[in-house]
Parts: sequence; structure tokens; C-alpha cells
Amino acid sequence: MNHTIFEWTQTACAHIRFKPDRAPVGAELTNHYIDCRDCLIRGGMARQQAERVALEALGDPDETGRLLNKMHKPYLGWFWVFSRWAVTLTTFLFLMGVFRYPVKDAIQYYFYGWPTFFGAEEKGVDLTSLKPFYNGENQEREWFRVYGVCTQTAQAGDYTVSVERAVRWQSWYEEEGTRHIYDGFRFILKAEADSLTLDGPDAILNYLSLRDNMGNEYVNR
Amino acid sequence: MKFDKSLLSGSTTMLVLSLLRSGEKYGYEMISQLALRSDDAFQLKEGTLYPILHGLERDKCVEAYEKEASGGRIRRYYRITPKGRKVLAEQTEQWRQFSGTVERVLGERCQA
Repeated sequence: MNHTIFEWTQTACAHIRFKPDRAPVGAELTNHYIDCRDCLIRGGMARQQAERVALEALGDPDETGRLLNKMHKPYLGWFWVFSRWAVTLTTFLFLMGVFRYPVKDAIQYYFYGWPTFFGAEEKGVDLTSLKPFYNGENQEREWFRVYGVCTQTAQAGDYTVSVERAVRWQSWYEEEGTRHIYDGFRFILKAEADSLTLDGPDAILNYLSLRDNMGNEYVNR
Repeated sequence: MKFDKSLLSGSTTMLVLSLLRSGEKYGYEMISQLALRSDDAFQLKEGTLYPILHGLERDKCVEAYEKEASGGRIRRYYRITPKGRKVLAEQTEQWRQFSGTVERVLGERCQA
């Protein structure tokens, strides 16, 4: 039975030139056949006879297929498929433009124990003046200077980096009567880019250091 | 009473839309209801129904959606759209004018 209805739908759907529509149309016609067959069985007809009658009721598969093909024009079908893709792509690009998608937002990165930082406050260093700068991937001292205060940013390749927040802390321990002071700070670094095709900004972090308002440089180690 | 198929062919779209006016239906349900309402006078073939339904869907006179039927099968249901209702009203009006005119002509011939 299944083979027969399968053949019928295969023959009918082969006339539909827009191939993506063949499977759903075939499924609909098969369902129609099952509905008809089951109805006849419920009405008291023997299963085998009901199957034959239901199949005959479907009519000529070639004639049905030709009529269905007229309703499933390939150019209309493909136009519909491409339109949906175009709308999706346009919407995506529009949203990208509106929101300037941040690739990796608020990356936490830590700097520890810089000797030059020790006693910075006593020297009049304003921690809020800390600015990141970038010395290039070749580690040569090619500085990328930063302008502005608090919203200070540096351009590191395709990324814009900025210090979102900095916290200074001091700790100490005593050993053999000598107090050892550990002085440092942490900050949250933000890296943004407009393109989704870039790699993550992790690589540039190796080359980032800080400079304060006194001109002191704190090199990342 | 069986009718000449050509009499039916011009009005099948209108009949299909009128079946959907009372609620959403699937293909076999439409054929069954049409046969029932017409005392088996109109027996729409599947080969006629589905091309009409798919054409109406393409023209946005009906919209289709899938729903699970008993036994886990997925049935495709059709429902009439506002545009479909408008087309149905136009076709019904045309049909009434046409049948009235035919009646008038036939009446004149009988009198003659």
C-alpha cells in the first residue's frame, strides 16, 4: 500500500519544477489519502478495498502534478527563498550598525606588583589619570598614545581599549623583623571593535601597559 | 443529480472559499463537506482541489498552517484571509448576477 501511494505522490510531485516544494506537497497528498482511507474503513469498508478506492479518488497523478506545477512556479519559489534571506541579512546588518556590536566586552586583566608603582600616591600620582597605551605586536616601543580623561582610550589595531575601573591595594608581610610591602592595583579593561570577523583581543593584552599623569610607565610583565 | 463538469469548473474557487468561510479546514474535510452540502452533486477531485488551494495560498486569499492530527500525523489546515473574504464576496456577487441573467434568458426562451 505504502509503495503504491508513494509511487503516486512521486509521479505527481515529479512534475513540480520547484524542488523544495515537492516534499511538503507529497506529504499533504499522502495525508489526504490516509484521511480518505480511514474514513472509508470507519464507514465499514474492508481495508484493502478502502485503500484502492482512496487511491483511485486521488485521480491521475500526472494530471494533478501538472496542475500543481502551475501553482509552484520555480521563479516564484526561488524569489521567495532569496527574499527571506535578503530580509534576514538586511536586518542583521541593520542591527550591527545600530548597536556597534562589542566583540568582547569587559575583559578582566590583572597587573601585579610593579616596582615603579610603589609609593605612587606619595609622589602625587592620580590613579584616575591612568591611561592604557599599546606598544605594538613586535614589542618595539612604538607608543599608541591616549587622549581624554576617564574615558581615556587607546587604539590597538582594530580594537579600542579603555580602562573602565582601577582599584589600588597594598598588602604586606613581615619576615625576620622586616616588613615587605606589596603595592599594586587591578583594573577592568574593555576592548571593542566594530567587526565580528576579528579574532578576540586576547593577543593585544600582552602588549598593553599603563602610563600615569606624571609620565610614569607601568610595563606589563 | 450529476452536473456537467464544465458548469462546476468556473466556480470551484468560490466554492472552496465559501467552505473556509465557516472555519479552518484540511483538504479531505473540504471535499467531504462539499459533497455533503450538495447531496453528492459536487464531488471535487483531489487533483482539482489542491492546485486551487495552493493557488489561493499563493495569492494570499488563504493561509496554511500545520497541526498534529491523531496518530501523530501532521495535517495542513487552511483558513481564509481578509483578502480571501473580499474575493469571495466579489465572486459571489458575480455568480448571482450571472445565474440571474441565465435564468432570465432561459425564462424568455420558455415563454417564447
